[in-house]
Amino acid sequence: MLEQDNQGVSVLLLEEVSRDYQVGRERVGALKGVSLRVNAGEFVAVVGPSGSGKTTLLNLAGCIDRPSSGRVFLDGLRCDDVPESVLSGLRAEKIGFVFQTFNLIPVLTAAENVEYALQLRPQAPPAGERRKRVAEILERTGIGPLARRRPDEMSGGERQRVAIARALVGRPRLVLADEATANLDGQTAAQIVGLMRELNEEQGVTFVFSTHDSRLQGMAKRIVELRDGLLRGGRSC
Amino acid sequence: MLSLRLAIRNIFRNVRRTAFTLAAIAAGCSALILNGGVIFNIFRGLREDAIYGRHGHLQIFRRGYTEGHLAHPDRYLIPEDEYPRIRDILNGAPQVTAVTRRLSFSGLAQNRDTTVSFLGEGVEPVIDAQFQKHLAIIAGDGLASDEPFGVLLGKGLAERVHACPGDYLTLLSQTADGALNAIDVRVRGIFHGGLKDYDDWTMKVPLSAAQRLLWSQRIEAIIVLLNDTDATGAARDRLEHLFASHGLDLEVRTWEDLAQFHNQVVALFRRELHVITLIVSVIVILSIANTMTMSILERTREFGTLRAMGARPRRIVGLLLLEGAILGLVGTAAGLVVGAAVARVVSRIGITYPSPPGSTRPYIGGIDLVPDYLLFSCVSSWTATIVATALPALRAVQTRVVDALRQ
Repeated sequence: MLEQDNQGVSVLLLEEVSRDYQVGRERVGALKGVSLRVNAGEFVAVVGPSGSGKTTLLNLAGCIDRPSSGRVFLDGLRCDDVPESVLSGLRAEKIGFVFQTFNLIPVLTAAENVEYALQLRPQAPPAGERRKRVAEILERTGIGPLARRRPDEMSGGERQRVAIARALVGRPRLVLADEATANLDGQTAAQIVGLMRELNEEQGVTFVFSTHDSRLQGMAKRIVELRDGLLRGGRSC
Repeated sequence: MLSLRLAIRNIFRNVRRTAFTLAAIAAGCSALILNGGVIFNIFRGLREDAIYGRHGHLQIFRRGYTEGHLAHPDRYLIPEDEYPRIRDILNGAPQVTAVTRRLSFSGLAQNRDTTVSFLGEGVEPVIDAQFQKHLAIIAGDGLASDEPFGVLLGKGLAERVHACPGDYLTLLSQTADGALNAIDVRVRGIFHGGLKDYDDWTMKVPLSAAQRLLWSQRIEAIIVLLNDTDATGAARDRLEHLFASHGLDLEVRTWEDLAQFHNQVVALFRRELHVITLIVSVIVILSIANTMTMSILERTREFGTLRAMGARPRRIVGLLLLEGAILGLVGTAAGLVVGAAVARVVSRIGITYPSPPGSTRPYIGGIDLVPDYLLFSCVSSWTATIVATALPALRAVQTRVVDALRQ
């Protein structure tokens, strides 16, 4: 039985979360007692210099890592102490990921990459429904005409659009994008963040993305700043 | 379907590596097919030798012969007057193609100043050739019904007694009541039977002459050839039933019951076949495991991504096993084609083996394609591929998702 968040349902809640790593004989704290609440429909940028703990925070939020201490709630359900098999189901149902290096499957076309994400869900929709949703999301992310191309036949921006489509096709509660624009030129990066913001406003999907690009920070509705594993406060735009 | 498409495309991501893996699987499968084919060819040669060179498919004796004939050889002979009834039953059995009688005995053969012991086989002259297909007449002629005292000598026996075709010998033996009896015979020919012991000791004597020498109208065994070796067991059961229903107290033995040498060699080689199968399977596993490990390690981040997206480890293992299964299927099919083609070519040319132990002539063999063993070879190679895939696949999914994504 999953434990419920008793402070009212938020999409993401981190309570006093710390994450330590063993480096040689030393324990290094990547996150130190961070608390963060993200509500439905927010568009949050996690900012900070390299090594500040942005990726660690997103990994914990995405339930692909476990905190050394503290609690993580996803959509009101505690997920820091549940078995990996349960987490797989939670991730498939509730979270979409967008990675810095796109992480598309190179042998699948854009449409197949997106469809495969749907197939991984415990209750995968039937084939007809899957294809309809894939076509819709590819069209919405602007890569409908490239649906049959493989990743190596697309530009970085196009690949990242496919990755966003893949993250959104399962209609997740939360999309996590870790340095999703770091490999893109400035103009393309702004287009990608712009697309994410449009989808956030249109579909109400909650986005949490990390970036160290100050130009993109201005596109966020809320900024959370990390420094040396500590939350330095934040601001809403 | 998407998983199948993904598996197939993954296989061809690195064409050179896939080609190497397929070659390893195909080579392993071919090796199993060829090794098994050689051994099954030897088995067939031994079987044919046992059936058509010695025992026939079935031998019919008086009941109790097997246990008692060494102590009381005369007690377990079949009276000559029973033979027509037995022959009628055998002629009515659809699988029976040939029937003959035999009477074995021992005695002394004298040629002028030389006297040697021998083992005599009393046989029916004309039909005996069908039961001794591997027997080669190397001098003179075979037995003939118009010369009831014309005999054949094994090559070694002829040398021992210094006899050539046309020479006359005196044969001495003990009759059923213990008296000594002798007959004169003419050497019609000299044979080469393939087994040294057989050639050194055996004299083939027309049955009527043997009965005259032993002063007995009895026969020791009735030998039967069938049209289908695989039907031997069924034919034995049917004949035993028929004999019993006709009040004949006989026992029927199959060639497998009698061919001890064949059975021992087959048991030995079957064990060898299992060992070779195991060794080849391990070699295939090691060869493929290396390339599969490389292939899987290169895709660690991909698996991390899939797991981040919610794929359970068993799904990823399943995907990799599917890839291994497809690779195994293609490699095994290639191995089957190559193995079968090589077997055909080699069988056409023939493999000359040195003389086997106890034999006096080289053996020309081939490679047999036995359907059951072909299936076994393919399943073994395919299973080896799956095992070789499973090991790195299980290791891959033990990596933590965050660590996999960092690769």
